[in-house]
Amino acid sequence: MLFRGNKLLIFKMAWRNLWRHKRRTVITLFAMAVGLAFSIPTIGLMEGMSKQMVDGITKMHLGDLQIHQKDYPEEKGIRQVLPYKLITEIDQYDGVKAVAPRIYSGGMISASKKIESRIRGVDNFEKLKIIHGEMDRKNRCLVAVDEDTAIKYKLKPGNELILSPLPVEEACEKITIGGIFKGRNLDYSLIFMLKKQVKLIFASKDEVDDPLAEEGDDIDNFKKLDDAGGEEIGNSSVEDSDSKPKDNSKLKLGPAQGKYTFVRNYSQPVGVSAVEPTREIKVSNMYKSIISGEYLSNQWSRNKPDRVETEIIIGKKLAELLNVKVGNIVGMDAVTMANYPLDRLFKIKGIFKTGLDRLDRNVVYIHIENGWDTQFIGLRNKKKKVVHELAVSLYNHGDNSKVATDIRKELDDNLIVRIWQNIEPAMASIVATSNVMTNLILAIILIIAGFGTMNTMLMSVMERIKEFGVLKSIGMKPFFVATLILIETVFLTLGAIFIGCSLGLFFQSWLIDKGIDLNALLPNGFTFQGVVIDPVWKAIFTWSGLFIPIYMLIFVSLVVALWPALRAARVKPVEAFRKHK
Amino acid sequence: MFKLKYVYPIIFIFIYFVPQVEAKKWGKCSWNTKKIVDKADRIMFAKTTAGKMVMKVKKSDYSSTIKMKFYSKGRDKMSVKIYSPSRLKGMSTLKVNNKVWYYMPRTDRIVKVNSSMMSSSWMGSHVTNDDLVKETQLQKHYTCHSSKSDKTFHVVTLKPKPSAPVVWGKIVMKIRKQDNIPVSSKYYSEKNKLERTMKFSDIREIDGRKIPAKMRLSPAGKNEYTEIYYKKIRFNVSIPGRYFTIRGLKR
Repeated sequence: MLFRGNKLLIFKMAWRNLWRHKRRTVITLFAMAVGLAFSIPTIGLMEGMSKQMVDGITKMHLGDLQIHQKDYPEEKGIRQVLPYKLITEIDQYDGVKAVAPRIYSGGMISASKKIESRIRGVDNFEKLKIIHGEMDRKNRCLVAVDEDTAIKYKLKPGNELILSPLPVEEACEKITIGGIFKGRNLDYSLIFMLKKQVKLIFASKDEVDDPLAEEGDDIDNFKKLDDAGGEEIGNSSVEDSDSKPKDNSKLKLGPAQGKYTFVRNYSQPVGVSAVEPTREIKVSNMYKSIISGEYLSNQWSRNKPDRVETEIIIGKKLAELLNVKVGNIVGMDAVTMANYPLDRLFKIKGIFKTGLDRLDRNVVYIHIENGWDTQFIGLRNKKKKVVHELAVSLYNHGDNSKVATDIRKELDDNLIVRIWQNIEPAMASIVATSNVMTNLILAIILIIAGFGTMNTMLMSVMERIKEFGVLKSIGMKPFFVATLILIETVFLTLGAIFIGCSLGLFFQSWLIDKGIDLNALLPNGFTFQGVVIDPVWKAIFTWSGLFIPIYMLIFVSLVVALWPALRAARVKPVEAFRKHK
Repeated sequence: MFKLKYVYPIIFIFIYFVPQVEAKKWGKCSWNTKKIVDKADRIMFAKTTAGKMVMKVKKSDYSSTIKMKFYSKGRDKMSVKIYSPSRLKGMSTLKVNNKVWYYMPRTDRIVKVNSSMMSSSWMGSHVTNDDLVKETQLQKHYTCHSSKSDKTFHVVTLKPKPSAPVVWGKIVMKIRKQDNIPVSSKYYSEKNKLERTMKFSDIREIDGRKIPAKMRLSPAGKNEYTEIYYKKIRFNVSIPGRYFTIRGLKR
């Protein structure tokens, strides 16, 4: 009846009721609004984190999905390959952004550092102030090196330096560092070694025809030893002729000091990844991790690689181990398709730092043509180019299982397609867990806000019981009273949504833009299960991230308002008047 | 006190002499077995050896053949130089004591093999760098567990001594009776699982010695092998010391 007369009356009443207790209404409004304002950026942050994790996994190296020969993931055999031509096919599937071919091998990278040093002969090492190491007299090629040089070239006792050029026979060809002595701020490197050995190094040798120079069948030219057939020979009886220079007549001993160049060899086993730069940068973010120099360029000329050094990028830790900088030359041998190793010189184009120890220390990237080059890895199948892996990146991470099934249908049986969740199941479950966590946090925030709302509504109902008694006694139906309370709640909720959204979106835009910088807390970067996560934690905006908390707020507040509404509807006028005078 | 003069020698006799009598057995086998095993183990051993060999590596579906010259002196010095195929020509390996160096001629580099590379394969074969370095002497590092012999062969099972620096848990050797030439060796892991088999064949007389000219090493459970065939060997020749130096690697 009242309803029929003025449809807006109930809204007007609800609105007025709200503003009869301004302070309480405003506080409730803000409690709800702040709840919402927190939920929106929280969801943004949590979604940002799982996106960062997924990005970290897929864009570091993995890609959204990978295609291999079916035994490759298990065995990593160099001949378990797939055709390079497959790329053009894969490229045409819906949702595929880019495909990157990769060839893997293993090898040893080595760099040599030239150290130019003065050598000075001593009769014995006793007078030197050795601060580190021990001078063992048994080794005739033992030396002591000054502290500054040792620090500069990272020399430790036990390290070996090879003389360059190699001196004539009988002199030491490599020296072993026995001790490090305290230098007096020398502006040059200084090495002390036994006087006699220094003399041998600087000895001038008259031209002696070297029987080794000829490539002939030297084996037949060896003379038989006198006591041939002596089978009962222990180790001790094998004479070490190196340590006993017998034929010194041809040597003119030189001075006991001078300059010489020593070569320090650093070597490290590495995994070799041959990639196609133009395609690789669309799949992986590795090029962003370059801290000095540049990423691989796409230059490759067919006949050059053995004359001009080809490009390589290496990790920061590896660069430290090898003691090299951008522009230095390193040599690397890699296991080839014919099983044996072949080597090639490379010029360091860039140094990357991903924060992942495994990558920064043990992985190098070279141009994929090195992988197909028969003078190097030579990965070809009947002269056709083949690769070990195709990494596929998609426009949308979420599509990967769908695209994987699509690709799977068309492929040969000996190939497999795996999504990153299958390759890194531990990471996948972590990402899934973090999504559950997001919803849990959201629910907790809104439930707290909801109880605040319930409290307010209940209080205002209790206060106004007398009024409801009046309303009831003049013929208002319980349904009307309940609706009135619910409409008051709706008004509150709408106000809260408006304020909460504006506040929340304001916070979120700041988090999207600036993010939370965790660098101070995690100075060495943040890696988790072999995935690098950006230390600046940024939120992302999604429509679901905005609407889910709004829907949840409306739902929660209506649910909690039901009880006060029912309470008001069930008021009996007589009792109301008796109790509340 | 003068009596102690006589007592001490008696004690010494007990300490030194008695165990020697017992040690005339080698583990659970006779002293003679030890001699047989040692002879088979050192069938190729000489003061120095020099020769040419062909190494054939077969892996699942690909194979390579490498020809090389080798020089060795005692147990601790060895140098190998490849002369074919042309791609690898000049590549050499030097082993002195327990260190290994490679020389890569194409890039003129000398690479010292560090400890983490020791377990990787040598020239793509089934032999690891560790196998090159670790010179195990069967009679020194192993004791006999059981031995059987029939008309033509001795079959000896060896187990490592507790402190021996070896990787195998058991070795079963089959040795030809007539001339103590090994026929096969089976290497088992510590869990008693067959890991690799070495077969010796093509017994012929080279440079005054009867030796198996062909050795085939195959890992268990795979259709793969590394075969070494000696084309030429000369025993006990005077090899200049420079062959076993870094200078010699680069030549």
